[in-house]
Amino acid sequence: MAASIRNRNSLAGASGALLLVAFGANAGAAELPRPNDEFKWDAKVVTSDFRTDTLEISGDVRVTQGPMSIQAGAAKARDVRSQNSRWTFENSVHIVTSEAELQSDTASAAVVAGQLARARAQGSPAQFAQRGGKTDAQVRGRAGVIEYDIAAGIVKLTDNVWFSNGKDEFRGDVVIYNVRDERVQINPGGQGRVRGIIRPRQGTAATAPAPTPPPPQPQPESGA
Amino acid sequence: MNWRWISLAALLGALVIGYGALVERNPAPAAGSTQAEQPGYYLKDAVITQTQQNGSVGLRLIADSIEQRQGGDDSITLDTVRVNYFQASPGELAQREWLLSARSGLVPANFRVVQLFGDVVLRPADAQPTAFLRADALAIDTQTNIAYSTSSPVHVRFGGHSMVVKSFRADLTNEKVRLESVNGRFDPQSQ
Repeated sequence: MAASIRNRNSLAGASGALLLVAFGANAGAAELPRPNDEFKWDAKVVTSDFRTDTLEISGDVRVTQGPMSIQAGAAKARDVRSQNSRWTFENSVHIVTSEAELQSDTASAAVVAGQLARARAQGSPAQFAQRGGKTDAQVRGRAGVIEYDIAAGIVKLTDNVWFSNGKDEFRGDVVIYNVRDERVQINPGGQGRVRGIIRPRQGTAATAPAPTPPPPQPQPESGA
Repeated sequence: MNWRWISLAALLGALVIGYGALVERNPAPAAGSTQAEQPGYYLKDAVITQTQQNGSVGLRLIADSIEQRQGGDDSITLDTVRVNYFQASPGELAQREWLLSARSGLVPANFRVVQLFGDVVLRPADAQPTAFLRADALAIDTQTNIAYSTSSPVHVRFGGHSMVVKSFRADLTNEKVRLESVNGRFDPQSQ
């Protein structure tokens, strides 16, 4: 089942909806990491031992690979002797790629074949912003959990999601956003209620009434 | 008359004997004021073992060559060295063995601090071969069981990561390694 969006002022009450929206924010061409980009990191202090294959890293932790970076107050890296390591970050985590920016309390990242492949940010809330778009049409989101498939350019927000393209905004349980083709799916499983505000584009304001924000809704919605 | 000559001859003889005895008691110093250097030993393809107070092996040095330094400090230098370092923690009966290798080494006469230079590798003997610390140089204090960096910055390799660090310190008792001011990169090829 799919519900198409018309230019309505509010979608409050649409339930069990799959929404597909092309935001058209016109983000610039993203610079993607290349396979030969070095995976580098620096910090004030690193402690480890000879048994657990783990690095405990603290003090201005910064991980970089090509155009990507992750900064945090502390980190732990597991399986560091293999090509596939797992990193967890805490204390003001800031993840930046050429396409997106995430901020959160904690995060984890998977390094696959020596490449930063995926990140998962958690916070109250964690925040997402697309980079490279127009400042008045920036795609942003907030959620308890944000998963970012860096290689595919897909962001999945779950747990009390708020999502906006700078003009329209939505609330739902799950939002999946492709930062490359700028399409968004809200509650793709058809579960839960989607609430949205679609505001008219400039130039059509003369024929459409100004948007009236709906009253605050209790969160979270049932059916999540 | 004869008695007079005999007495004079006896007196001269006594003087000569007395002078000889005096000279024997105060031998002339050797040429120069320094003592002659004792020759040090030089061993090829050698093993030196240092034991602890209870008789157990504390340190075994295996080297292509081991040479005692001449000049009085009795330290020894080693070329292409491997070290078996046995360390017992308080309360532990079993000794933990560490393996080290380096291009060269320097051991003082009291064996307190062993210094190793050139592609030094440190790892527990019973850990996986990939679990190692490699550094340009390090020293081990055999009394505190601490291995530490002796120059800065120092290039360190830990597993698949190579790092440039300001300093490091490895506590061989609890196997913890602490690195400070670290710039690292994942570099599995040059393991």
